[in-house]
Amino acid sequence: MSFVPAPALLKIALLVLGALLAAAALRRTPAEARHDLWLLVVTGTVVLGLAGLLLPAVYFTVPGSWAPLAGPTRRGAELIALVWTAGAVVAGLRFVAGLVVLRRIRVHATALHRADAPDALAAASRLAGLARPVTLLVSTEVHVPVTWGVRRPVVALPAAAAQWSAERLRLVLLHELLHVRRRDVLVELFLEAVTIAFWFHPAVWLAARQLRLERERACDEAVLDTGARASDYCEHLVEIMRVAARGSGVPVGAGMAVPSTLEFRIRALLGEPRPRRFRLRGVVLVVCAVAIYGLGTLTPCVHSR
Amino acid sequence: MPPAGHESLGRRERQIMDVVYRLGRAAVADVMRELPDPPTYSAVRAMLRYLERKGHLRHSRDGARYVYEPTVSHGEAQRTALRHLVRTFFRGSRPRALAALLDLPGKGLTDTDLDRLRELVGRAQREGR
Repeated sequence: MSFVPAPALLKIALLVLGALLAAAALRRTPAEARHDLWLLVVTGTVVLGLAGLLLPAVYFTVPGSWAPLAGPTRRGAELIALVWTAGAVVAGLRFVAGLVVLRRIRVHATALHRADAPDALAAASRLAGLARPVTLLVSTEVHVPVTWGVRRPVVALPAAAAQWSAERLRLVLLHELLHVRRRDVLVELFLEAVTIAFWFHPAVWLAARQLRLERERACDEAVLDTGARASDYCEHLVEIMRVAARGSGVPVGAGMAVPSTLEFRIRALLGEPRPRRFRLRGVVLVVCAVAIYGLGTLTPCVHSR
Repeated sequence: MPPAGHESLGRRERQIMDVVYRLGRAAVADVMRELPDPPTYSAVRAMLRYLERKGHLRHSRDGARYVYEPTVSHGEAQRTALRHLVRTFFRGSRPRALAALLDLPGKGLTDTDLDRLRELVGRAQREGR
């Protein structure tokens, strides 16, 4: 807030509003395209926040009554800095606590004792196009499948995974390994950092939420691209969530069954036609980048006589 | 005698313990002032004596008044209450308790939501989608 002048906060809101319109126009395209758009938008919020340092300024005159937009008084700035720091510390602590939970899960988890587990993991790795080794664990502390780790990826499944059908295990592993191949955990860490810095800005939270939703939908679509039937895949999602509903989620990492978006994803998978290939993905991203640059350079100033 | 946890206390007794913890030290009149819809003076005095017998409070004399204070420090009482909470609701698992505390409110799906989704999926399966 004190580090991000008021016009930048307004520009971030405009950017996210524009992205919502663009994402609505792209609703028939693969989720991957919307994911990339939202990733660029979240990056854009950082660029707009630091535009004063990163981009040249193009001044435009605003009426004198808009002068408060130029920034708060010194005392106001100090107060804002204090409130911002308190909020960022709380948001940061929440993130650190999430990492502590993951670490404890890692320590207490065990290997998945199923004769077909190594083959299922190898087959899912092949289908996901993943060359890196992945540690597969089961834990009583997780209630939905969850993936974390940047250098040494870990997939933790709930204890019920020992009794899953071979088909459910295959689809779940495929979904989780697609997260690994896409390096979604890295994106998640970036998202956490941005939402900690902009904890006070609803537009940034909205952009982060959309990015997480499109990430899950991109993995869902990639699973279906391997030949799985949408209704069968959705049945597994619902049944995993039914067991998980009795427990609580893991706060950090990327997971397959996110309760807040599950219904939306299932309705999309069952109700919408399969997305068409989208050739203009690059064009959309360039237009978005230009919009971010343009918004970043525009600097309001009050004409003084 | 060390006191048992506050979970064994009745509603009114727990309210009195909350008041004494909040004030640090309290006489009968102080407790009455802080209680919502307070009972009579003698009823409050009887409850304070009962809590003292159970080991939750001890008293000292302040002139003509009896002043009560908790036998267990506020910090220790917090830890005991948290331990009880973790044991009761999270089967003794601290990570599970932490994860539940960190969970954003309102993002869970109810059984009714899941039944509705299951029905949707069943219809799609029958239609071969």
